[in-house]
Amino acid sequence: MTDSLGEGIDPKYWIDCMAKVAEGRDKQSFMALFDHFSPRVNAYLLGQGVEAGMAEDLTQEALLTLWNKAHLYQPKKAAVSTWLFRVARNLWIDRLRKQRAKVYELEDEFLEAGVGALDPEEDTGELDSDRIQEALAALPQNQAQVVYMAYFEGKSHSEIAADTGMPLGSVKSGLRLALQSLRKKYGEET
Amino acid sequence: MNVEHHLQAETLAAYAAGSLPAAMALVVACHTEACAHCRKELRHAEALGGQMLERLPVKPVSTSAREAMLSMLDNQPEPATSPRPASAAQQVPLNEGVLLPRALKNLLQIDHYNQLKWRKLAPGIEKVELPLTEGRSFMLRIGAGLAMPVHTHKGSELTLIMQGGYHDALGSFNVGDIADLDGSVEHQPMAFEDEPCICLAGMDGGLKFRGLIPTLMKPFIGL
Repeated sequence: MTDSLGEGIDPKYWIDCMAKVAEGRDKQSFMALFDHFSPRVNAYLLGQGVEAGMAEDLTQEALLTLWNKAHLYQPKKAAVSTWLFRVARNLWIDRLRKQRAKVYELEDEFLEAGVGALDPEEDTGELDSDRIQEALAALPQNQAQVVYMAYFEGKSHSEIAADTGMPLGSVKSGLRLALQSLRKKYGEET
Repeated sequence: MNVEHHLQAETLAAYAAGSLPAAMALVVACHTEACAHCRKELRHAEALGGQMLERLPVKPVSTSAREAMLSMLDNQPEPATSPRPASAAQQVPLNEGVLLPRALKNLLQIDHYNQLKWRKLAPGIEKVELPLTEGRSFMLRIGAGLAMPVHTHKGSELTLIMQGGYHDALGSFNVGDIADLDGSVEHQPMAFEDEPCICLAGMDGGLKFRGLIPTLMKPFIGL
């Protein structure tokens, strides 16, 4: 395992761990998930500008949600990392962006019902992590920067434009191109 | 419902990342409730978030937090085993019945269109200002065959057709369609001849962003 680099672990391993938590309240599997994901959730929250003490509390809360709601997780709908990303995102929005929270609390209901509950027959298991990783690594520098700022600094398109000096239109088209190349890797026709 | 005009991928990415102002996030939530295509795109944008979570430089929590976590596990209630809610049944086409989209119901704490408090803006045009100050959001009701004033926008604008429809230089917009426009677009929507048009608009124009988010521009690992 090369865990500190976040690579080399088959995402299916985490799906197994989730199943063991869901079915047997298995603490060992939970702590494996905790040890892998808590430093990442914490890093994500710090990147969003959450103060260190609160980031640690919210990280705990996110992982506790995993412990309590593992039975609602559906591997066909999303990777464990994606499921936790949503949980962590909704947590910081709830604490720091009260107005957005009114919209995202409905996203929590989707989570409860399983991601993608409105489309029960839809299988998004196609989201093969290795292929997304490859696609991310292949992005041109400016697209990668825009994706990074949008996702991990929580910046709006206009803020990214202001920070980088890029025109707003270039920020948007950069993000759009990045998503297009990722979608190609999913093997999706559009 | 046959949606022809969808959200731009970058708007969905901003929603997935949580960085869209509340006024625009509201419109995205109302559209995705009724549009399977955009819901699927949103799942992809979230999968990207999951992948990026995997690739972030790690910031471990303290050892005491780890121990506290372990000790909390025993004090958690057993998970409820009730079946998942049949949420597919909650999906109400926007033009059938008079139920508002869920995000609007949640925001306004009302259920139906006829509970909206319309205020006259101009002859044949009425408006409901929505209680969001992060960006700006309102609903418009435009009488059949009437035109809205020509307007441009400072920032981005999302408009969702909720009843009726309109046409402008960009084409025809029917129930469920969304116009995802940036500041460069000048347009004059005109409601269809046969019925009034109700739409929901959200924009970020004139927003002042607070300095809560520090500049943390580290090169992204592996990129």
